[in-house]
Amino acid sequence: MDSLDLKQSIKLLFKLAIRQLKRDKRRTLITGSAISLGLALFIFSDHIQQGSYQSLIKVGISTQAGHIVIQAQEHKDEQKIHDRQKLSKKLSKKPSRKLNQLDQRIEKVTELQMSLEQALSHAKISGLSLARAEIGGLLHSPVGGARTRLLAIDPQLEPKVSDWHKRLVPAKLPQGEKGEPIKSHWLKQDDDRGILLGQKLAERLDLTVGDKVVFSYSYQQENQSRLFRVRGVLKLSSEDQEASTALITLNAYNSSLNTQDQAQKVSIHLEQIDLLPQALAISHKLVKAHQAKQTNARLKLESLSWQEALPALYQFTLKDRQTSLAIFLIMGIMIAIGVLNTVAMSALERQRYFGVMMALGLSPKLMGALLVVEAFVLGIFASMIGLVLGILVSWPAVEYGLDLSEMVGEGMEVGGVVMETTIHAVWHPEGLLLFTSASIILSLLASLWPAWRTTHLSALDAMRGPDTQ
Amino acid sequence: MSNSHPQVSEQHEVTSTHETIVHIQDLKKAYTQGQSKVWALRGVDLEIKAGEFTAFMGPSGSGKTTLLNMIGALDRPSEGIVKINGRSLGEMSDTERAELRRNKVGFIFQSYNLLPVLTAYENAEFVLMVRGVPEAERKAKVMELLTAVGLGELAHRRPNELSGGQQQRVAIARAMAGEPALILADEPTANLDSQTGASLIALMRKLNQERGITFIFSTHDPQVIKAAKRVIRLVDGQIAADESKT
Repeated sequence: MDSLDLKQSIKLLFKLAIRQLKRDKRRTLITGSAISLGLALFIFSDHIQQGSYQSLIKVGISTQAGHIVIQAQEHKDEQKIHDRQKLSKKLSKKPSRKLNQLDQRIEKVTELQMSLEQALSHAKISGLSLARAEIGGLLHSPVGGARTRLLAIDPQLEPKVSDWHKRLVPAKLPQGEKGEPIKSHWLKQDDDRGILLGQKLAERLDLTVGDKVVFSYSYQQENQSRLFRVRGVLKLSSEDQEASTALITLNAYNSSLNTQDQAQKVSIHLEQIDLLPQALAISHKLVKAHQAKQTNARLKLESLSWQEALPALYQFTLKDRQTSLAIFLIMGIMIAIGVLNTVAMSALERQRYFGVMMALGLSPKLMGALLVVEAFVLGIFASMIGLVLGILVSWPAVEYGLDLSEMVGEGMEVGGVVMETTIHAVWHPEGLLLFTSASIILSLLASLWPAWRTTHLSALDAMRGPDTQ
Repeated sequence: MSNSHPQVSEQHEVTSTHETIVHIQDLKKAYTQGQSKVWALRGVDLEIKAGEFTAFMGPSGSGKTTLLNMIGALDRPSEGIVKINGRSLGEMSDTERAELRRNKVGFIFQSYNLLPVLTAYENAEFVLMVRGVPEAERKAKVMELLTAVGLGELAHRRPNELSGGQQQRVAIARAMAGEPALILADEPTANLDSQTGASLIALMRKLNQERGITFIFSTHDPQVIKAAKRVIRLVDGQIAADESKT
């Protein structure tokens, strides 16, 4: 046999590469550490980022939308906060076509919910259908008034989806009164006078459980008002939200508007998010059929995925992810340049050693391949260590979460959704695979230039070159 | 020993027929220094027969090492012809020259040039690995050679754990391992004390006689010159004298 076959070449190259890496411990340790620590940082950041996205989306879906939302077309336009200029132009051209908030009501909501659940069940998709509505107006107490957004909910179904019921806290007594705070109670299904107030709102209006409060709003070009009784106080994610939000039942909403079985949104909450496209197709079909049952001819219903219903949130997660990946790439390239420098220096120092191998008959291609294999072996080992390190440092953030309250205060609003102050990282296998593969590939890429240079050395010139070993 | 190695028998045959292994004709080599050309070889004509034990001697800068590098396909001539076993090196590609070095030529360097990450055994084994010789065959061959050069017990030591003489013995074993037709030794005793140098010369002479391998040295060492069967004196890149001993 006159020369090595592929298997023998690979075996020889790996043997020489591992020996070299073991021999040059300091360089191996420094370069390997850069790769490992960089990868661990990427993995940790990715887990935190995925956790924050999931948390934001979960909050957005549970409190503002659903995996699928059925609503009036105008409602979506109002939500496009990134597209306000375009919307205002559109509205200024056709003002008469605009339905106001209280006219964007879906009729026969229970019928729609039932047909949705039946159709989903028929398609073997587990999901829950939920109705919600909203009224803006002023809430008055004997001490003053406050602009308030009343959210109308279904008290029986809502706890299955959102965590409003877990946010009930004891209500402070009005100023000047002494005694223990009063226990808050969740709304009852048929309660058409009950109201739950955000804690700041209750404090501002000096209200406690059992107090009366008047909500005034504009409907059918007339000012209207309705009396409510405070059933409880809610501790919400941000002060802004707490100072302007109150919950009532859908019954109370319908009573206020003298309507029956109406709501602004019907949302579908799926157990398996991957069934969203199928569920959306079912929803589109049913909405079309339900449209014909509406008495308000101007109301155009549409069925939206959560990405369409919460465009600001969706765009934020997409853009933020793209920005992060670009930053990760830049950092990865910086690490790769460090590896390139190390491999190039190592190759330069071993020129004479390479010359001897060439004099003994090793081909220039195999010499170049030796450097690539060294970088590959180092990349694999360092990346495996980085992977383990990344998982280890991510673990506490997954288990216990990261408390960011000192950084973001009571809660930061992102894409129209208030972020939780404690972020729980989530395991992201795709990220682990992506970053570990990228780490190995970048290590390999970093060796290509020194390897190419080595293949262009002549044995004699190489033997005359520097060798510090 | 030679019976177990067919190539050795073949080389004995080559020796007996006195075939020309190295043919050099009007060989010139110039190096560029700045804007001027420096001629290291100025027209060398030479023939070396298989099995010879030849030394190139001469002062520094006379062209000894350059001539060895030309014969070993490590460098290309500026003018003239170098043939090894009838094949002209000037017509060979880099890959063919690497193959020639791998299969036909062994090198012994002044500063040993062992691969620092490999043991004595692995250094000697390296050429056989590059040639794709099966492991069992490699092992038998390398241990036989290391024993022959007196290093059977030190096979698993790294170069930095061996003395200069021991390292040069490993280099000889490495050069021998591929059973080359020709071994080129560039001042092999220059870094050794005279006693160690003498023992290595004796070893190489023994291998030359027993295995019929052609040795060509470049040297200043009187001991090597004394042991050589043919001494070629180079002066200013030309052959000034060519003396064969009986």
